Amino acid sequence: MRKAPLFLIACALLMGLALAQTLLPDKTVSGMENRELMQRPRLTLDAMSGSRWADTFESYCADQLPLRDTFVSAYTSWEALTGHRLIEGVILGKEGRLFDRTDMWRERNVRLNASALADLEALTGRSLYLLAVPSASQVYADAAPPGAPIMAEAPLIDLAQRDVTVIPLLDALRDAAAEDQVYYRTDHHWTAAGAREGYLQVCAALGLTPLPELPLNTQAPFHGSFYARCPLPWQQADTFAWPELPALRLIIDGQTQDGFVDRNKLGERDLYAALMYGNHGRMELINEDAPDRTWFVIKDSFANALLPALSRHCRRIVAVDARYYAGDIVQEVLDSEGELILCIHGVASLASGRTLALLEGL
Amino acid sequence: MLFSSLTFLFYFLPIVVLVHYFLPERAQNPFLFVASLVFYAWGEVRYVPLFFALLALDYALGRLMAAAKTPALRRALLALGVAADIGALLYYKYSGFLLSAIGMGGRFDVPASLPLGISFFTFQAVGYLIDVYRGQTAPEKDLISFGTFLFLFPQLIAGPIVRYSDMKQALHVRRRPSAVQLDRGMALFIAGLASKVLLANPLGALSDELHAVTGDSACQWAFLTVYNLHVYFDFWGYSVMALGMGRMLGFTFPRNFNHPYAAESIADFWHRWHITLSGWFRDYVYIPLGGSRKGPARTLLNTLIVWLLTGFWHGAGWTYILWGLWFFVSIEFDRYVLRPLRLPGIVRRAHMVLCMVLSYAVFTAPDLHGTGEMLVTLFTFRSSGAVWFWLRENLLLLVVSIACCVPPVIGFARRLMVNHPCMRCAGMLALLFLCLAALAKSSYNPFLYFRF
Repeated sequence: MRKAPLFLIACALLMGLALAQTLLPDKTVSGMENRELMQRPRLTLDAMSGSRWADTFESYCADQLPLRDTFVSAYTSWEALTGHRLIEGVILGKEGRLFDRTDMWRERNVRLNASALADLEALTGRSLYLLAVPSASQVYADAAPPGAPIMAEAPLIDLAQRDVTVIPLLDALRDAAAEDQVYYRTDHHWTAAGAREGYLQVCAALGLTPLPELPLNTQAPFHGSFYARCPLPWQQADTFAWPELPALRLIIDGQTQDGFVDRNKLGERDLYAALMYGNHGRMELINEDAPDRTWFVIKDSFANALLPALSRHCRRIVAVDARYYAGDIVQEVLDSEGELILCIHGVASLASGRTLALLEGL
Repeated sequence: MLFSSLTFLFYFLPIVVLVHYFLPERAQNPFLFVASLVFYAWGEVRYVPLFFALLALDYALGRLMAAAKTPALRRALLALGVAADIGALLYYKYSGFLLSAIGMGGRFDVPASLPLGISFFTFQAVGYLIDVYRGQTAPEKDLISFGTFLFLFPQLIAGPIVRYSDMKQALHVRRRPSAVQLDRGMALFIAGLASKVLLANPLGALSDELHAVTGDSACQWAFLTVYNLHVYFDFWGYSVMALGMGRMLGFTFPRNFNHPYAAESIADFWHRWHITLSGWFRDYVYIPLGGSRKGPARTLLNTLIVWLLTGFWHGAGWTYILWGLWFFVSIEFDRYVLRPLRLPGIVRRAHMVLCMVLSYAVFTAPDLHGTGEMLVTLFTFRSSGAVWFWLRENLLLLVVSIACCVPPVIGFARRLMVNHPCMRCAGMLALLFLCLAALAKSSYNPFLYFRF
């Protein structure tokens, strides 16, 4: 048997991994994947009688595989080195830019969501403005590989414009991209500079005078959502930046937070999740230094980088994230006494699902 | 349990192979039988009674047939055994289709799922009974050894379909594979695993992408071509893993593939593809029907029957029967038209490739209507150019896959491995690491909007 080196080493490798998996304590959360990991399933006669236990055990083995992140990174590297430019729905562009695959979006979703916003405007009697934030691939189009499965978003925004007032943004972001980095390389969100462009466009649409730029805090390295899906070891990390605004308070589920940045999250991989303490069904932003007015915002995570700047124009912002909000949206708008409704959504969430169309009350 | 699952790779395979190696002869078959039972019951516990019922019946009938004094009784016992085995297959695999074919679909409860590997082990059992009936082999006297033959885990779920006579000797000796056998067995297993995980799975993902571009002729032609490669490397991978595990356990299983895409004609292709199934139909259907001994018309009819059965074996649906019919027509066209014309070999090879590519237009369609739609798309020759992105994206995968279909390339790799043991060891371990990485990646599922 000693003359069978391949057999012995392979068995040692496989059994070594099995032993390590058995002896090491189970991890509870994967920071890379932002999800809870499967824990060792309990062996019961009931569970063993079907296929459930076997499936659960297989998921457990996969989740608790020793050196899992290393294995995943190694295979992602292998895919990239063998010529793949589309890995886990992430498109590898030039200059280390990563983009989302968007060819499975549907125009029908945009129509339904825009129509829902039009209904909300009619039912509440408030003016509604839509700031549709395009994907990075629309701004850095030259960096995407030719023929990549990316959908043109301008026609989608035009489609929404038939039902609601859309604040133009795409051209401003393209212009700004020549000077500054308006999207993170490793994350699907815009940067503080990108959000600043969004802010300027909102001011222009609402007839507000833009205020000077806030000082920025920075933290590096930042490995965003694209990196989590496509963890290439040679991927250039981003520097995360967020504005300094001590006057801004956040109320989430009745609890007032000190500032709008979750300091605990600044120690984790996904730094963008620190803004506004992540995503919540409903929250309020209070800025006592701002003029006494209230706005109602329907948002997704893109708004988190923009809300601090907007909060300098109104004392109270009631923000609802349709993905996690279960109440009656019409009643919520009326109760908030907001002067206007601002919908800040990535084109991604307008085109890939029907979250706005499914809101209660519409 | 799948060979390419982490549970199998980490726990089942190394433990079974190592424990089996050190066991004394009398404990080896019981151990493998129990291991195979665990392998089968892992996720399929409810079919274990069927497993035991067929085992007990086939074992008893084999013994009774050998002891029977009259041919009539032997025939009756054989008929009973074949009816039970094929009956189980018909019930679990075909009852839903057959009932709907006669307009009675929905009136009876039909099995919702198929017992793992039933198409393989029922054929193996029928082959055994016929061999005993014909006196070509003596019946197995030991129930556990018989169970080990019928349900041995390496060939339980995807073949090869092994004849009892090929395993009989190994079942009754102390199996102590040599170091060379263990090493080659592991090399074969890793090669099969790599074929499945590093070639077949990405080819499957590519074929899904191409198939999704509906109405695009170029994408659908590419889909059918890539799907051919996907099926080949998937099935070949499983077969080679089975061969490798067989070696590590001291068995020699027959080869199931012999470079099918290097075939000279479509008939030759089927001599090289799923060889043990073709052999089964030849030995237990075609030849008993008279083979080619009863004139051209009867030969044609016998061939047609075999092809219809081959199609039906692959799945319960009209598309599978049409698929079998397609190969019957293609092979006869080659035999009666192309071969007499003495055309250059490249023409018959091109015909073989075209037959295979188009066969999957039938095989992958959900129904005959879907087949028709696919054929219309293929021959309207409309394309958006989307195919180029996918081909560029997978260029290396396609080049490697096609190269692996060419015998000299495989021969060169094999010689390299044999002549340079260190290179073989390092290469195979690198492949194993990549396979584990791919399996880890397949369960990797980043969640963007997670709220703790």
